[in-house]
Amino acid sequence: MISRVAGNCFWLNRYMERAGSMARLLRVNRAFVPGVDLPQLQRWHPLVIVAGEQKAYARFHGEDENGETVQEYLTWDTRNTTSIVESVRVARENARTAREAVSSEMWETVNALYHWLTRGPGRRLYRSDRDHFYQHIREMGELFHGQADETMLNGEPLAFMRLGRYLERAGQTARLMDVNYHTFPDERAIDDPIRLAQWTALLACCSATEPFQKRSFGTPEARDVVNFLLFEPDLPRSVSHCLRAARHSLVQVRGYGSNRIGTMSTALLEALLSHIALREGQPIVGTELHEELTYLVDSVSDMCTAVEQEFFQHADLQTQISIAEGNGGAAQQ
Amino acid sequence: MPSDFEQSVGLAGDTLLLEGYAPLPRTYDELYAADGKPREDVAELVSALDQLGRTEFMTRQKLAEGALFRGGVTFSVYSDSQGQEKIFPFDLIPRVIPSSHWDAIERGLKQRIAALNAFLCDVYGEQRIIKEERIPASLVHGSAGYLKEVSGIRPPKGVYVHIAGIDLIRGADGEFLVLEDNVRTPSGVSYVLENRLVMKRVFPDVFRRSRVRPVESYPKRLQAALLATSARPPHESRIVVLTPGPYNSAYFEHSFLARQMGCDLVEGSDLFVHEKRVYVKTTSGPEVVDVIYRRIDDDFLDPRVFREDSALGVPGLIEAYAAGNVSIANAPGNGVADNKAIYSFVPDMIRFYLDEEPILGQVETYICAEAKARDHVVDNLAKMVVKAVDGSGGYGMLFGPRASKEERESFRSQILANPDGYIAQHVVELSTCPTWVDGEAGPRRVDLRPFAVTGSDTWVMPGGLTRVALRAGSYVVNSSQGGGSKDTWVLEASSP
Repeated sequence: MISRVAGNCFWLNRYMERAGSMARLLRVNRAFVPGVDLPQLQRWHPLVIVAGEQKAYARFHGEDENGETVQEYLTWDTRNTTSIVESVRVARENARTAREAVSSEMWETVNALYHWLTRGPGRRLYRSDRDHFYQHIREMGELFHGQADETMLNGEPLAFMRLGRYLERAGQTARLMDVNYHTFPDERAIDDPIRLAQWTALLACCSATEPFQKRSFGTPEARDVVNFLLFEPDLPRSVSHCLRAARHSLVQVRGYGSNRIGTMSTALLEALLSHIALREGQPIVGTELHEELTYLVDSVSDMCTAVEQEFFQHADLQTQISIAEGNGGAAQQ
Repeated sequence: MPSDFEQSVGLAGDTLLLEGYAPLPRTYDELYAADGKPREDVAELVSALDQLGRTEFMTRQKLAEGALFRGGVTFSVYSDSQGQEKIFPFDLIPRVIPSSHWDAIERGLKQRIAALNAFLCDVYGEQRIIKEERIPASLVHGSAGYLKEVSGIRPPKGVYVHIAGIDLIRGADGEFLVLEDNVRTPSGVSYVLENRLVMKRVFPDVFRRSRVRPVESYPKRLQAALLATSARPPHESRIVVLTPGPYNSAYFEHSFLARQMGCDLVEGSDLFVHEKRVYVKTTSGPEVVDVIYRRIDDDFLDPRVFREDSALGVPGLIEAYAAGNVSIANAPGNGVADNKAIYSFVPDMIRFYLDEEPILGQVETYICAEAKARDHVVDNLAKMVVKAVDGSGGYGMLFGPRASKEERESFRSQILANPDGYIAQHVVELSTCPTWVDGEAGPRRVDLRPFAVTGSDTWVMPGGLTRVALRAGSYVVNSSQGGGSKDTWVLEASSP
């Protein structure tokens, strides 16, 4: 498929994933904050960190850590490239640009969500029933990804969409854990109510509350939660599951064409997967966990850069020409 | 929506849709005769619409607009990412053409396209028509659309006009006349297909009973025509649609056509030329491109040959084209056939190349380059429509009867300063069609852009884009200037 359009597919799904996770995160935090007695800075500020927006946020709002200000910034602020409204706008631009590659069902969902947000109804619901507002966005995100699986031909565009979705998700889970790593200081059982609430919220942010209950018995320990979110192969948002799903899509993508494209992306992903396989089942706590998560976040980010360069940009015309010459005989037969 | 839904809706005291409709005097109306009664061949259909009533009609108009908006059938009003998008105003009252009228249009268009194609082949080849003095050389060579760079290049299969959107109007006597030839990159066909989809959803029963000829095969016909010009066999050929990009106002259409043909939509930077072959950059490396349906202007196609500053085109494209390795639709250089002074010679072309009499009439044209015609034009500006010869989209135009004295004066000096740049025509009383504006149906002027595609032969879509001037009394139907669109229903011939 056209490199540029493959990029549109990849980014479309990344941004929809991002908008959905941000909505889930905001909704969970709204439920979490009133129930625990936390210092002001630990209430809403962690969300700004997850979004990677500390600097920009400080520039616009200084030390104002009021929940309303943070929610407004992460939901509506068009100066914030990770805000929900911006993610949806960029997703829609990618879909509009690549409509020939995106199913009509998916397009209509993104288009409807964008207009709902920007033409009034979304704003009204935000004011009157905010939980419902975030839930709607999350549901539209789920609808969108479901439509991708249900309405797209199982081919290259879908493979790029899934690649984008899973890489975004892997990075998101790792970042979420990293922001909370200080709540995993040791291997003691979770008995402190505040920490229990924090862990529960973290699981909820990863849609992992019920799955975790099904897999854990007795009083959970820190390592159980960490292992679950990092390594549980059956959890849709665990880092390990997302990277394996990404590998599946990458293999699929490479199967469509020349072996010469995608070697760097594949090498990075395989290295990351072996790294994870080695760590699996070992207790990781405290600062060691922070280092581990930083490594994961950075590696996923490098991986995205490699995909971008190898598949979408094709800046190197010389490579193109040499492949063209290699294919030349075949084309003329 | 099930069709009995429509039947179950009674008028229930509502006003008839078209009650009190009065056609304009001395103007042909598409649905109503001069006596104020529906025309006989469409009477049944008009009555079915009438029976819907106004409230129901407005409900359905809302449904239709919602469907177009949700589907993103929009054009962008400003050309940046924050720009507004609007739906092309769409009027639900169809414009109806009985089958007996359509046959002549279809034959007339095929004939005209054949002549224009022969003309392009000739002016970029032997130039017989100039040597035999049927058309002045200065007119051809002076036209902005004439590209000496493509002289001597013969396009694959000799097809220049793959896609034609020749504008027709209807004068007071009801005769269809050609107003303009559009054989560069005529747009609007996506609206025809999307409007039709909506009409079938909101008027299922009226539609079914009226026996409307289908338009849905357009993308397949276009694809077949494009493939017919490929140098490789169809199943090995790659077609792409070349767009200026997502901020172009017609991007929806470019994307729509690529989707409907199942081919890739590309921007200039997705393509490159190597050893006179065109390649597209794909995720698995470059692939050869055989046919380019381009929706960018000639000037921007190849910065090595035309505008150097063009970032939209593909360096080396014309060389690949000249080598016969890629087919470009429509052919570069077609602009000379759209020239409004050349237009007046099309009937002569039909006689010259085809040895036939023109089937479709056209509007009498004064070429200001000729002294006698120019004098007549400048003395009668208040009765004339003046057009720039290389203009399009309703720009660079003076509509004499509506223009202010200052505007007429300004055009008078422009014509005198650059007579070669202008032509003029007498005002034609464009036909009207009932159109829903501000809560009632009133007569509004319409034109018709039927679409024809040519590969190994020419196929004319039964119907086309009816554009309507939404302002009362206005003659300007262009979407950029307050125009809307209607679905065009060409009816099946009645069964024998």
